[in-house]
Amino acid sequence: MSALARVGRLVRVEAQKVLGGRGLLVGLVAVAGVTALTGWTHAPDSGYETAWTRTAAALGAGLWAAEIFLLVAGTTTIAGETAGGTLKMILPHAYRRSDWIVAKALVLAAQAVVLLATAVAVAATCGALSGGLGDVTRTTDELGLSMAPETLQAGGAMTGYLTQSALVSLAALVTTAWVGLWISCLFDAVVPAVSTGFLLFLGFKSAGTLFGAGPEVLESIYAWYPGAMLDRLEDLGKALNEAWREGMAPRGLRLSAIVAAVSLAGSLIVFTRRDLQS
Amino acid sequence: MSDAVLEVRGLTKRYGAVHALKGIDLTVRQGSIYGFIGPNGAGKTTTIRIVAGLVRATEGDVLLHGVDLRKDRLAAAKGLRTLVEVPAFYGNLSGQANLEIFARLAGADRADVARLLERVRLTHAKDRAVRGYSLGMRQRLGIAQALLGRPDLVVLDEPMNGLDPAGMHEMRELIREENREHGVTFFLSSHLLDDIQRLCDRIGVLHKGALVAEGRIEDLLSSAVTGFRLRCADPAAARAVLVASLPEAKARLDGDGTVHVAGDASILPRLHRALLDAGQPVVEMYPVRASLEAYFLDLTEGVMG
Repeated sequence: MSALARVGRLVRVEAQKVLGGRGLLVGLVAVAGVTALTGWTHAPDSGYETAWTRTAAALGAGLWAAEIFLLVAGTTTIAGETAGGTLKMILPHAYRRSDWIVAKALVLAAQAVVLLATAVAVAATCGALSGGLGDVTRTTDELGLSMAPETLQAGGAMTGYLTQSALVSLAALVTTAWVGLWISCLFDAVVPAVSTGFLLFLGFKSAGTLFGAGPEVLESIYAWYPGAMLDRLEDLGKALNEAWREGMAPRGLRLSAIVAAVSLAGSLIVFTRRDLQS
Repeated sequence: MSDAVLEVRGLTKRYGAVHALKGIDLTVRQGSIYGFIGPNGAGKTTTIRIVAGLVRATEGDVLLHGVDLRKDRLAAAKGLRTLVEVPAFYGNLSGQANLEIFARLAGADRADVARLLERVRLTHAKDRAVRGYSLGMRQRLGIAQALLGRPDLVVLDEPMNGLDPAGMHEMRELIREENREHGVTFFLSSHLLDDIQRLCDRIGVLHKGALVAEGRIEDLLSSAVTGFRLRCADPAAARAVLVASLPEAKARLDGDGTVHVAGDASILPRLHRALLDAGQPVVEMYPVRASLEAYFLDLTEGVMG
């Protein structure tokens, strides 16, 4: 059997396990719920609300929920099977350990796609229900006369920015899950794996707040980009005189790709060399 | 061509300063049922973990059908199924869904899943989540997964754990049937020496990481003669002669009219001479062999597994 066929078979096995459990369903409900609730209750700090501000804020919240879900899914994917004893049941079959890592990584990536698609769909629905995702305009009164609305951001451009943000978010979600997978290969128990994952992720995500990291440091962390891009999208939606930073998406994608590749390589190295005693 | 399904050569495993396995050599032949016994901590599970590919050997080779497990795992492990210690499953999935996952891994079809669920008497519980299964049910499901896809070699670590007497009987029958009818080779570790004696053709005895005995059970036990039963014309007189001339033989009269003497074959020349000199020649003589349990306890210095 070729490597592709082996991995394909293991992907189906992993998918059967994920779909047979309730974990993904809980994740989907949580992401959809958090996204919808934020879109529904969102109150902008500047007092200026548009469909775009609701959409950006809702997607940002949904992204947090998805990140947490995937962090848990990633950090438990090997450690959970080791602790539960199922790893010793599946590993003796005629597959390479690297086949298992690749299959698990692909299924985690697929879960990231599903969760993000859910968050984007719910966030866009919130936007559509609160005035529609069209142009961002501002109407000013001068000398008691109402002027013609001024278009600050075209709807098409905003949709493009949302798409960029979603792509970078997807890359960051997959990366977070794969970082979790790497951590998972290091532990035989769930609690230390998940705890380590959370500590690392909080460090990535909140380096500015926790460590007072400056912009240069933050811009070198893959996990910073989705939130920063959605914040910028929200600012544009508020009709603030901001400009989209074109370099954010490629840089965010590049950083995510590097961290994801290192995590996958780390998982392969650790998992293929370790003894499984549990 | 060799009929060895599993060959272990010079298998060594060290955990830091702990020498868990000290160069084990054993061979399991096609179609046999091999018993692997030893006290707790002897290294049985470590050996099985290495064969299963869960743990890497420090030194030595494991060959399955002549293929080195470390060099070509995909080819070597093709017909291998294992059940290491307590079977574990995806608790939120049903018994059938679990077996379907293992069937997919083994390349077995769904008919095999249904056949084995029926064979281990779990058809009635196939739709229940495994988290609600008793230990015995899990053990039976574990055996079922190990038999998916008609394997060549099934390695079972304590397969009788958690089974009631009826379940153990059934398990023995299942192993015999799969061995006899489908030619499946079994490598069993067990603490239950009675089961090993009833099921296995060959055994290996592991003690402190070393294989202290290996071979056919009859051959091993035939070398473990603990004494002899003698039939003489006058058993009481013969006993009296032996008590006087061979006190270390601890001669005693048994209820069936024979004289029992303790010792190995080295006492026989003196025994015959003493009885002939006293005019009580031996009419018949039978060796008394140790039970597997006595043999095991003798080899392992009385440490029971």
